[in-house]
Amino acid sequence: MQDLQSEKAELVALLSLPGAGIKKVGELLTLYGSPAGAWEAVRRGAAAGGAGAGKNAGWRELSRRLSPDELLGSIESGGITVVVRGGPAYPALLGEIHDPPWMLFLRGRHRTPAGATVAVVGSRKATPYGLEVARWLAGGLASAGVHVVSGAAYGVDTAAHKGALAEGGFTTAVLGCGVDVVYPRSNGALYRDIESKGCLIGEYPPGTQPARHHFPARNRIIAGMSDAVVVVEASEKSGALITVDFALSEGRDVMAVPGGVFSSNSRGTNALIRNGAVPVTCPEDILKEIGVSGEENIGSAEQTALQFREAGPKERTLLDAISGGLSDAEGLSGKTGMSAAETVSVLSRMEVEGLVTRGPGGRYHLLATRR
Amino acid sequence: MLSKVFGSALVGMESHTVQVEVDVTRGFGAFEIVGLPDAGIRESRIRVKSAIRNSCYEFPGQSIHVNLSPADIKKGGPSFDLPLALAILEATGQLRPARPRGYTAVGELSLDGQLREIAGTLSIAIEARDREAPFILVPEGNAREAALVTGVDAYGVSSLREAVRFLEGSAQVNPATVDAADLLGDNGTPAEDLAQVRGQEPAKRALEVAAAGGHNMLMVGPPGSGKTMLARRLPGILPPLSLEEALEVTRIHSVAGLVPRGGSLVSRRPFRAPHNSISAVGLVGGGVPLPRPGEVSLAHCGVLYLDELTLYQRNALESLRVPLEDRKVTLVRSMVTVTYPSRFGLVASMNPCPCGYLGDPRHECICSLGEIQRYRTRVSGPLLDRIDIQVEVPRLNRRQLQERSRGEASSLVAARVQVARELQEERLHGSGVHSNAEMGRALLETTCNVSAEGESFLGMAVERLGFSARTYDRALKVARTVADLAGADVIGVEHLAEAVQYRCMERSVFSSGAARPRV
Repeated sequence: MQDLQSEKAELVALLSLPGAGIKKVGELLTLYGSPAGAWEAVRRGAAAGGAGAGKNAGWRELSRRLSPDELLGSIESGGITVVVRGGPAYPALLGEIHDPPWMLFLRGRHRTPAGATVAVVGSRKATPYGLEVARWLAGGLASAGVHVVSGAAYGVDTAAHKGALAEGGFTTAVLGCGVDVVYPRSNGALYRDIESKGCLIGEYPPGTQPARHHFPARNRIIAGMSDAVVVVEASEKSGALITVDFALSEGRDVMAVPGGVFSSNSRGTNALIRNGAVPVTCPEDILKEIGVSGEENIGSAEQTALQFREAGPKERTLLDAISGGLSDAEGLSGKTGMSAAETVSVLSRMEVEGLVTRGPGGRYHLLATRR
Repeated sequence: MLSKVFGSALVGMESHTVQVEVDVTRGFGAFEIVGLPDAGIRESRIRVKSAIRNSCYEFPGQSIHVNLSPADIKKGGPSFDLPLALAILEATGQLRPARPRGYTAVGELSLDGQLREIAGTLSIAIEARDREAPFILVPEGNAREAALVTGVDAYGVSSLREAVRFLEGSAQVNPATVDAADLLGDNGTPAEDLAQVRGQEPAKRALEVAAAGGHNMLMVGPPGSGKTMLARRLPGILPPLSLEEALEVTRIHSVAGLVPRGGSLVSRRPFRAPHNSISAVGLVGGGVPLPRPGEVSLAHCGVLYLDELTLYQRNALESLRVPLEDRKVTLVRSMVTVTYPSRFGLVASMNPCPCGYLGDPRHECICSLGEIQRYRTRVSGPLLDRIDIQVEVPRLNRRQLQERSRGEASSLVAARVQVARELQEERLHGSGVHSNAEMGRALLETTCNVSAEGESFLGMAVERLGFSARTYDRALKVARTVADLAGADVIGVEHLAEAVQYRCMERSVFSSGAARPRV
C-alpha cells in the first residue's frame, strides 16, 4: 500500500513539472521502468526535459525543492482521488488497451463496476430525436444495472448521463480537461449530479483546461473502459467515430442507432450500420448483445402507445398529429382546428407532464417514456 | 433705440422664453449677439440682414447689439431669426406695433424674407400659454400644430413682411384652429391589417398577448417567415391614443422636427424601425449642444421594432436597458439635463442561428454548436430578461400558405386588447403603473391570484423546464395578461401553460428538456 501511495505521489510530481505532459511522462516511465526510477532520474538531472540543457537544470532544481507527498496531499484534499494503473479503482477493461493511461484523476464515488459497462456517445449538436433516444437508451441500461459511460459534452453525452442518473444508475463522465474544470461551462449542475451519484474521471491533472487534442485521447478512455460503444447520432465527421475506431481496434462491440436517411446527424450512424455495426432500436437490443438480461420496467414502444390512451381527447389529437409528422404549434393549430392559444396551452401541459419535448424552432417531439 | 421681442429656446421638450433685446446705437456696422448663442444663431445675422433688405426694409448702418436673456441658457437653432428681425425693425422705427406687446415670435427666415417651419412649436405654444402671452406668431406651416394648445392664439404668417403688417394691424390674419379630438378620431383604417397575414396563428396570438399586457416581444425565426410583417401590425391592435398621449407624442416628434409642414396632431401610434447600423446615441438620444430625442423616445406610446437584433452594436442594445426599465431617458450634459419619455413596446426579431435554418425540417442547419451559442449570446441576458414574450416563428412554404386561412381582422383583436387593458387600468389604479408588463415583484404578488391547480403546474414547470426565479416572475406576468384576455380573475392552469411557452430563448439549444442556467 505504501508503494502504491508513493507511486501516485511520484507520478503526480512528474506531471507537475513544467513542459511535462502525459506523453513526456509516458516516455520517462518507459525509459526508466517505474515512477520511482523516473523521479530519481529527474532529481539527478539525468532526465531530458524537452529541448535544451537549461531546462534539465530547471527540472533538477525544481524536483529537489518539491515534495511529491505534499503535492499528492494537496490534490487529495481537494476531493480528487488519484488512481494508478493496477490500483483498485482503475477500470479493469481500460488496463487491457494498447496504451492505457498511467493514472487517472477521479471525482465522485469510486467503485469498480461489477456489471457490464456501455458507452453511449454521439453528436454534440444532436436533434431532439437523438437526445431523446440517448436519454431513453441510457435509462434502460441503467435500470438493468449497466454502468453508462459518456463524455459530459453537450447533446447526446449530456442526455445519456441524465438518462442514467434519472434511473438511479451509476454513470461515469470521461473528461478532456482536469476533473475540477467544468466544461462545457453550463454543465455545472450535471457535474454535481454525476459527482454525487457516479464519477468524473480524466487523465489530465487538476486545473487543465480543455484542448482540441485532448478529446481524441479522452475518447480512447471511453472506448477502453467499455464492453460496447453505442453511437446515437453522428455526422460523418463526428468525434464519436473516433471513439468507434478505438473500440474496433480494441475489439469492443460497436452498435449504432439508425436515423433518417436525409438527416446529416445520422449519416455517420447509418454508415456504421451499413459496415456491420449492430443496429439498436431499444435498450434490450444492447442488453442482448452484451449478454445482460433486462428487467421488466424498461421503456419500450408499447409503453408509448399506452400513453396515447391515457391522454385526454385534445392531447390525443395533438399526439396523433405530431406522430403524423407535424411538429410546430403553427402546423398543429392549422391541422387540428384548435385555436392558437389553446394549442399552445395544451402542448405546454403535455411538455410539463413529459409527453412531448420542445426542440429548436419551437418543434414538439414525442417522448418515448414518461419522465 | 432699444426694443424687446420674446423668442423661445428649446431645451429637450421644454421651451424657455427668451427675451431678444436689440440696441441700435452709434457706431459703424457692428452686429453682435451675446447671451450664449450657438454657432447657428450667429449665422442668423446673415439671414436677418438679407431678409430685412429683401423685404424692402432698411437695415441700419449703425452698430447693432443683441442680447438674449436670460443669459445662462444655451440657445440654439434658427427660430430666433424672426424675433431678431422684428426687434431690429422696431428699434429702427420701421415697425410700430398696434397689437399688444409681450407676444412670442418664432421662425426661420430665408434670405428673401419668407418664413420657414421650425421644430418644437407645440412646446413653444405651451410655454407661451403658461406665461400668459397675448398671442404667438409662428411660420404658417407650424400654425396648426401651435393651435393644439388652447388658451393662446396662434397666428401663422408666411413672411417677414406679413408678420410686420400683421403686427401693425394693416393685415388681417385669423388665428389657426384645429379640433384635437376630431383629429384623434380620424384614425382612418390601418393600412396594415392582421387579416392580410395567412397562417402564423400562434405568432399572432403572441402579438395579441403582447399588445394586451404591454409586453416586449422577440420573434425567432428564419428569414422570410413574416416576422417584420407581423411586427408592423402591432400598432393597429393597440388601443387608440388618448388625447394626452397624442399630445405628448406630438411634442416629442415636434422637437425632433418630424411633424410635417402643415401637420398637426400625431394621432396614430408611432412605429419606428431603425436600421441595425444605429448608434447608441441614435437609439436613446443625445448630441451637442442640446440632446435630441432618440428612437426610444420617438417610439413613445408606440412600437420600436429592431429587425435582426443580433446585427445591432452591442453597446447600442445595452443602452436600451435603462429606457426599457425606467420608461424615460435622462440625458445629462455639461450644461443641461434633459428628460424624454420612452414608454414603448419593443418588438425584435432574429434568426435562430447564423444560417437561419436551425429547427427547419426542410433544410439542414450548417452551423456548429459554438457558432450558434456565440450568435445567441450577442443578445445579453439582462436585455432578454426584459423581453417577456419570446416566440418562434416557423417559415411556411407556398402550399402551407395556401392552405392557411386568413386570420381575424385587426379591429376584432384590438377590441379584445382594449377590454384587457381596461381590466388592467382598473386593477392597477393608483399604483402608478398602467399595464401588466410594468408590474414589479410586489404588485405581482397582490394581483396574481393563481388557482391551486395552476400553482402545482408552475411548480412542475419550474422543475421540468429548469426555469429560474426571474423566469417564473415573467411567466406569471404574461399569464396575468392571458387571463385578462380571457376575462378571468383567477389565473388558471391554461393561462400559465400558455405563458410558459413564451420563453423560448431560455431553453438550451441542444440538451434535453431542461434550460440553460442563466446567470
